[in-house]
Amino acid sequence: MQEKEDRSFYVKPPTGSSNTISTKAIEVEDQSKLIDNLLNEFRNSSSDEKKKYRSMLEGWLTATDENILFQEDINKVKDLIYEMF
Amino acid sequence: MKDGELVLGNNPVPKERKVKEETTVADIPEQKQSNTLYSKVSNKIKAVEHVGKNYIRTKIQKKTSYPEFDDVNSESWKISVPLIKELKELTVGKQLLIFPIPYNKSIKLKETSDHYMSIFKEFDDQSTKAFDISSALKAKHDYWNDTVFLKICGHFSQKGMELVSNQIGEILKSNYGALPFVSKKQESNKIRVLGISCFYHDSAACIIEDGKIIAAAQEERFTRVKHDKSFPLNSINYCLEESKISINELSSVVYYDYESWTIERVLWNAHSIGNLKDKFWNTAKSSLYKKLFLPKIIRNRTGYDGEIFKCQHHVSHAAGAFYPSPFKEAAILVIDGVGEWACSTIAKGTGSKIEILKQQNYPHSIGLLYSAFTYYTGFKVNSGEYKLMGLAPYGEPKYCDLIKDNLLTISEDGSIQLDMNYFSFQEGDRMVNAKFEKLFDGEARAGESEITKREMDLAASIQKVTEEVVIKMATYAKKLTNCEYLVMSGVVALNCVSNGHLFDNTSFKDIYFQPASGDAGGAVGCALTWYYENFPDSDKNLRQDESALLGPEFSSSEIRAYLNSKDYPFHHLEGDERAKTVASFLSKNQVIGHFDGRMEFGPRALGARSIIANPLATEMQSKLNLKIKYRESFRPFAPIFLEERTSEYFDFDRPSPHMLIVRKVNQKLIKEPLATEDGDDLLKIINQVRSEIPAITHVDNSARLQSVSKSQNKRMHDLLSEFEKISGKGILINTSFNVRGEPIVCTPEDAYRCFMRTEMDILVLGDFYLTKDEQPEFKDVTNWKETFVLD
Repeated sequence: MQEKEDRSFYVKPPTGSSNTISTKAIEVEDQSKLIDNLLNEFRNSSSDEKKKYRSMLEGWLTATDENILFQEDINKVKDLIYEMF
Repeated sequence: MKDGELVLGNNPVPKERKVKEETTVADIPEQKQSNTLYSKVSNKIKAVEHVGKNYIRTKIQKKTSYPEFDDVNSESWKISVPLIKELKELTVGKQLLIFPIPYNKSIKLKETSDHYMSIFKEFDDQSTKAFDISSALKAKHDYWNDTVFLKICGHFSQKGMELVSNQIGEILKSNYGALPFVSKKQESNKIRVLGISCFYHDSAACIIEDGKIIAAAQEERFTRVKHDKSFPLNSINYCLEESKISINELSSVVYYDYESWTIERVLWNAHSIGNLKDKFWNTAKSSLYKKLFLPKIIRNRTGYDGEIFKCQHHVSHAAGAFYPSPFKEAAILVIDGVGEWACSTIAKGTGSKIEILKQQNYPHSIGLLYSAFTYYTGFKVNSGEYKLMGLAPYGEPKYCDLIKDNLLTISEDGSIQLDMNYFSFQEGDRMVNAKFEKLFDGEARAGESEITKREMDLAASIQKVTEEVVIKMATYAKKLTNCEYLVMSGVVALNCVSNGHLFDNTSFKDIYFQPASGDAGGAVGCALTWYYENFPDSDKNLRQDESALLGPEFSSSEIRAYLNSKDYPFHHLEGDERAKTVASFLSKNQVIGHFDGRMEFGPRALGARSIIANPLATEMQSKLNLKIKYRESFRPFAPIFLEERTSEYFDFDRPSPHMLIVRKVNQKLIKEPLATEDGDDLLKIINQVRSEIPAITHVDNSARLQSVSKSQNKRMHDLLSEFEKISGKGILINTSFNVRGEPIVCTPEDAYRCFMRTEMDILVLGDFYLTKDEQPEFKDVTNWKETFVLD
């Protein structure tokens, strides 16, 4: 691997008119809209990959239940409640 | 009360409020399903609104409102009664109005009755009247939020005091028709932006005003948790306080990362590791949760109701380096472990504009490669990298070829490709795998076990490879941008050794390194990015952070009040005598905790929160390491010196104000070591006298430089000048004011505690000093060596 390597491993940076964007797209209550908006912001994924990711996101955001509040590690619960709500 | 007598202390409001019954969140009843997880949990909490979310917080935190005022037999009430009685005697013939000022949490706990009011009301008569301002403030709960009190101590912030004062004014006006004071609303057209970094490591907040940095601080300094990654509420409170504004007077709040890109990268990562996908995703997604709901967290925790923005991680770093730099145009190099996708970025800054030119994406990261060796040599990832750098000069770079032949391909433009067959950080559990261990003929060193020559050689090798990559990247950045200057950020820009080599191996005229190049600095960069994108015609402020002293400071009166309240014996340092007295202590080889002015932003102590000592004393390095810092004996100490002496002491000819450049000690000061340096005995190696300033001369005759100019820090410059008059050298050891695993001290109380826990001789707090032998016996409430997790 040590031979002089002229090949570049840099990639094209993301394009866009602005380096900052509003978070409004993820500040939505509707979950399917939230997932649509998230996927819409993805920049390195093909449509096939987005399909696979959608199901994982749906699983994450719907299947996760309030058991997060009842996990054994009380410090994690404290952290979550105190930090987020 | 002590032995039945009233004893006045500093602060009658205790911080912790234990309740008798332990309650857990298991008491929270079930609630109907709703849409997002955030809503689900939020609704669950709302379901018990009759007690309120703060009730839950309170229960979880095992706190309650004013238990010490529970009844007439409570201790606090016993303290209050004689005070009020005495006040009544002092004000005979005059109207006495009593306004019990509620503790902030009492106000937030809407459901809690202010039982203490009934006790105060017992004083009501013709000349005395107690007023309840708590209920009125509770009625305004909607706008009452966390930003009006200082979480660091639970007291009201300036904004909170203003609200309380206004309430008192309203009561006076309605009862007596008089309003003794008028609140002055700050009217301003200034653009103020809050930048936030959190949920990775080193959470921080920063406020800029019209492009100028007003305040910046890391959350760890307030919570006392090293590298704290939690939501930086304390830092935000401090920045608002310093800016003299409330949260909704901000023009914008900006987060330093695109959560959606990070989620995308994690999803991609999960799919790229085959059958470990589900395990990885199940672990990783919990860490994404807070990032996804960050806007809601910001609103919930601060009460902010304006628009929130996000800024790309590496743009935040790039902006944090370019805008505060002294250059109008510069090449920008950002290198860290990973942002969202980017691991390294080359950009160009021109005036108010930053243009991203090239990026290297995950997982091909020189930062993660360095972290892999950090892990393999037995140090903690994301905190032990600087130890590996400090260990490198003890070793030989004998593994360089092995690394370059197997682990990565280095392109001439500095981009790299890692051979992922050797690494396991994509799976999440470890940084390297069995193949890596086989390559280097052994398992990773166990943390805290003996450091051998092998670890030293590994450190030297990865350091050399890293330097090669960074120099190639910088050279390519020069070629791409044709700029005369370079600015750098990202955690790899904290590799001071690599930074030092850039001056000799690139053609840039000068280089600026962001003092808080880790994630904390992202808070500065994202705020500046938003500002200059929305106000592109604004002039880029040059030298706006000439100093990194952007944190809290404590006035002489505050320090004096603290010391008096604790009955700690102290001495006043007046005028010019300050520098002379402290320099005299130093010349007698006394080790000093030096606390003065605004706290530093970034990982380096630059004299404001520093331990300073005489670098001319031969055994000072090992003494400091083992008796004061309680850390590994191999770690070197940095010098702080008069800027005008730079080239006299080192092979360097320009300012280095932020301790981010390693250079060799001037050859004229070098001495030949008397003993051999073979073997693994680090203490023997360290105690060799290598120069006329031995305690800051590392084993390779290098030092991590911090120069001080009069304009940058006059008081430190004066101290160095006085030390020079006594010793002949205007240079001192400067190491951070903390012990191993502890965040750098923030308050006088932190400083005193650290002073008493260690073998420091003198504590300088602003214009005062304390000697160890005059202090009362120190009884530590905790075993501090267990309190701070070793880094």
